Amino acid sequence: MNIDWQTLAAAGIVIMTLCIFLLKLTRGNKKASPCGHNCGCKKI
Amino acid sequence: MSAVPDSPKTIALIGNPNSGKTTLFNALTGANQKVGNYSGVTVALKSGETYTPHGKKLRVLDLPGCYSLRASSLDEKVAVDALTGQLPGYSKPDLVVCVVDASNLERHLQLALQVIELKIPVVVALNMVDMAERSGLRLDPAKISEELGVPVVPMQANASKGLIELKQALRFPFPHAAEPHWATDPDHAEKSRREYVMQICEVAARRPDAHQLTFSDKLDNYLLHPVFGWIFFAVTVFLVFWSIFSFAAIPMGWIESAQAAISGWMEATLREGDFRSLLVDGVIGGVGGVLVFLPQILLLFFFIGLLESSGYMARAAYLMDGVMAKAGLSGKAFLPLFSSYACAIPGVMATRTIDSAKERIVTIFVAPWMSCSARLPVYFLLVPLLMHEKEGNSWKQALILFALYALGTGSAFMVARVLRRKLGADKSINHFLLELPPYRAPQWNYIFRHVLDRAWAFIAKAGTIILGLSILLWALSTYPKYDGDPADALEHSTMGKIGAIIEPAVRPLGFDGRIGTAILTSFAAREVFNSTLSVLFRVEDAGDEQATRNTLREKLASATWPDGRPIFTPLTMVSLLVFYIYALQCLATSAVVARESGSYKWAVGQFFFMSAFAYVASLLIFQVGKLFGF
Repeated sequence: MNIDWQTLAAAGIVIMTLCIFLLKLTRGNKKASPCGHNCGCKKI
Repeated sequence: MSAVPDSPKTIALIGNPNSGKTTLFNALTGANQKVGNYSGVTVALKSGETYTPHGKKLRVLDLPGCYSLRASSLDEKVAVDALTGQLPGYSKPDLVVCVVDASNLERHLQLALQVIELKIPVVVALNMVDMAERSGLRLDPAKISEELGVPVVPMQANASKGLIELKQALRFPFPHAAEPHWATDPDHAEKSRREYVMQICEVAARRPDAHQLTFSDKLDNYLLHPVFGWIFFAVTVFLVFWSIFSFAAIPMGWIESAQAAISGWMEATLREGDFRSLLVDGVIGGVGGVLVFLPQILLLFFFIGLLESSGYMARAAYLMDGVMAKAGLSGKAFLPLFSSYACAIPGVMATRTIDSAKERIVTIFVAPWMSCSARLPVYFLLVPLLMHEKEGNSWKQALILFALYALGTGSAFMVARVLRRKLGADKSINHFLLELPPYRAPQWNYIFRHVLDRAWAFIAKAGTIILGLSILLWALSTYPKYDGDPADALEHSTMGKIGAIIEPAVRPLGFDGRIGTAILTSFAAREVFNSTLSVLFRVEDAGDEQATRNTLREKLASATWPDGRPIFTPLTMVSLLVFYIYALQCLATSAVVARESGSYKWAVGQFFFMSAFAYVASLLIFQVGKLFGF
């Protein structure tokens, strides 16, 4: 089977992108509340 | 003598809403916080750093505006907690800079007296002295300082005038806490303060004997007029939308030309293959399809900044108070809802200025229906197609866009009214207090910095999430590889199969599987709709600028059902536009709603309600339209 560099490069970029998305999804975004605490927005 | 490395002292900026705290904070710290000539721009605590004239580092806190230390709204509570050292993570400030509007001392000094009563060292920043003097007020800062027992620095924060003098007042050691000699009777504290403020104003801030109408007063006679005021308001809003359509056409052409040039160069450099297809069709087609709308989005933010900075936004809120009341809301809901036209996230954040918890939750709930800038790429793609016109300078397109915004806004008001009634009355009565600031020349540097900030945020989003999704969409529409006729390749791809599965669900709305797939992919972010369609309809660079501009629309216009009927009929496009007005397709907004409402229940409920509403509305439009022969 003859696979050229373009096929490999494209597949590599797709797999890498998928991995980044999955990693982001599993780790989540843990940003601190900008209001601090006890501001009344019910965030503990 | 060696310096002792101790933690920096904290100074807090406090003042009534719209006294210029954020402007002063930016001037002191070199930060780029959003500034508006409107109450409630600061809705959360901001922190920055500055230095004393002797190079000592100071931590600066910009607190949300409050009228008193017995705050009732959420943003005012943040200020009070920070000032009294009750905010976790923040120590009690070592010094408080009380920012007061020099032209409104009668009211602003009341808060200054309350802060002094806390026995914290205070410096009063007598801001906007230029405007006070122009209105004929004769100020005596030295006398005010003598009466209050604290340093008083006259300044003009928006021009950085008086900043050096203020920093001199922040030298170590800080001034001692003043003795509140007016607070002799705790039972009548407010009366004592009011009388003392009047006494100070009598000797140190004398007004001209005859009442003179200021420039702002004269202008307000027209702009707040029951008839002319509304005409001006409607014309202003329409002009904003018209400008977005027409002025942005030129830079959009540049972006499209650059996109075509890069695609052409890649096709000339690389031979045909998967990698070239990924770059040209996936990355440039997908990201470019979203980036091209950057000029329109920036114009929207520019106009919002201009209206806020000039002082007209407060007048619009005043005019809208009566309209808001019909939806069970107050004028305080105007800024959050108007901000949502740019982006629902700051709009939801801005609801913190609303005193009533129930009114706040209703405003949060309906805010995503104020058509945000992320919907613009979809509107800009479909509206010219609907009108059989090229994109650009057309009053008809502006009118359709205006109608889309009006439909979203009207529906939001109706749902707000129903929800407000369902939630019932508040336990305590809340009053709508709005300060009408004097008209000012816009602060261009802050407007442009804010617009650039938004530009960068949009580009960053296009360069990360949308780039990633474009690559994955390309993969879905390319794999598994099909060795037969290239024209059938998409049908055999994963994307083609997903489209076939969901087609029965979206067909009653007038959509085929490809439109259904594009809708599905845009639930994370609306802008992805265009890039998905670009990939699904195999839009490639045609080489010629004019041809490239219209390729996607031409492909959409020529798309047909298997029996040869066109897919993108006017009825289908109206149905699609209606779906995009109502569907909540933004994960970031849902996350902010969950945080601000304090419960995932509201965010999940809002998502399902809006998605179901969008589906049913599109279904009704398409089916009823078909019955009437459209």
